[in-house]
Amino acid sequence: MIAGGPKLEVRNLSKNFRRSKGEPICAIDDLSLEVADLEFLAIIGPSGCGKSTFLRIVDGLIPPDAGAIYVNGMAVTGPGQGRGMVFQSFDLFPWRSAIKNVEFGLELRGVPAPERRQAARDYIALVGLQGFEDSYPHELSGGMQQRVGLARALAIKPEVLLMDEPFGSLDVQTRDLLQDQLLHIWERDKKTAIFVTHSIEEAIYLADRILVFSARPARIELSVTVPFSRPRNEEMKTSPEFLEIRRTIWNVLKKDALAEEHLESSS
Amino acid sequence: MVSAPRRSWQDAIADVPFFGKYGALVVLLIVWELFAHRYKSYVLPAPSAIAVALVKGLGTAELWGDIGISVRRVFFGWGAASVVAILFGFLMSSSRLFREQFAYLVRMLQPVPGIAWIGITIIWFGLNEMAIIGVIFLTVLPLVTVATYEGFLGVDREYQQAARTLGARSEWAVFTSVTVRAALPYLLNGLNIGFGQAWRVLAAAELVGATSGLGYFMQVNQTALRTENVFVVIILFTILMFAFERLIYQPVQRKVLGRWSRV
Repeated sequence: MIAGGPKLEVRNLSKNFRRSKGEPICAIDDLSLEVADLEFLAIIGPSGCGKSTFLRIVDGLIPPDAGAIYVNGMAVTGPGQGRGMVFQSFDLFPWRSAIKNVEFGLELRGVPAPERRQAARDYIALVGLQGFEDSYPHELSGGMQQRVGLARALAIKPEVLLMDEPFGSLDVQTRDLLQDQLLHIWERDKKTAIFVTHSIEEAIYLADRILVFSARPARIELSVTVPFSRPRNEEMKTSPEFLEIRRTIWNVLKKDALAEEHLESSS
Repeated sequence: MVSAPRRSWQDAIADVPFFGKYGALVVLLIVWELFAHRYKSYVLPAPSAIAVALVKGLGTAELWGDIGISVRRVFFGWGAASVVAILFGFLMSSSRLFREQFAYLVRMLQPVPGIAWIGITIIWFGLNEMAIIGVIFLTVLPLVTVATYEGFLGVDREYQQAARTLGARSEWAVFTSVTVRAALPYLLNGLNIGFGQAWRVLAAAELVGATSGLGYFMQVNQTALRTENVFVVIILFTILMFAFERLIYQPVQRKVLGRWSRV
């Protein structure tokens, strides 16, 4: 790693999508940003703004049309090299038990069975699911499944953890609990994290810094540094600073949301 | 106080051991037995006469020989077709060009009634094993091909994506670690349906173009008006399919699916 350099650097990133017919759509236009080592970055933006596309490019799942991603100064050329990803959907392998899901990445790396079994056990414990090692995904609740997903991503010891609206399809109570658990896990196994979300509160509660993306093509409209100390707690959510940040972000998002409403009603 | 849930009279009957499940069969057999005596035995043999014929038949090497021949034909035809079909289905799922080229061909073959091939296979191979096995092969081939390629294509792309982010470097690694496993229940189902069709077409093919096997046995006995033996063959077909389900398919399915019930 280059001393003092950013952990992750996104340089002049652009991505277009081509519909089967018609003009290509610009999803991301000349986007540049940096994420410091061990920083927790949240990205928020209107739906369909290209946040998920951005995360997939960072992971290496899809190639950019222009620009590049650097981790520790090295260009990203494909997935699975030091980055771990958690998706919104519960994409656990349904034919594997919880612990076998967590072991999956280690199997691909050729880690011997006893060693990877132990490592998987440790990560299952880290996400608080001792006793559920041998449960199958369909036997677990949505929140538990997502914790297995997190354990599975952490088990490959990524340097950067990417999360694409991981709590997006959970009910509000489960979501609040998982936010606390995620922070708890992150405090114990600290790593650079990028968290894409729809929820302003979630972004403020979790992150060190928040980037607000514009509607397509995705550009950075606003960068907010969250002033709260860690560990975070529930009281922060009702503090004046929290509400102030919330309002600032909402004002930027509202503009895009209104524009979209307008477009839809006029078309 | 929690009152007991009300049970309907239908539930009450269905819960009676044995009779709850086999009552209709027992009644049918009794009625059949009583009515059968009004007719000549070659028109409607009584269940008791059929049972005697079954036991007697199973005491002869002849019937066992025919069973063995039929089972072998089914396994050869179905097995060979399945191997080719899985290969084909895999190629169709993984290559768009291959899919475009062959999808309509397979679709054209699918609606052809399997027994229609007997005309061709007898001309090609003569009245022998290959004619029968060929009919089974051609019947099973499109079925399993479609099941295979739809199984592979239907694999949730999220699993493949997850495999990639977790370190599957090549397409082949994704295929072996995730795609095959996710498609397996569909493949199994296709193989099972193919097996059922193989039996159905075997019976028809052996009636027309064989000098051995259960279909031939049935045809000989039909000509001789030994109707009870015709029923024996029908019962044997049922028993053989049932045995396959219970002894081969279900254990394999249990092993493959495990506790994975989200199919």
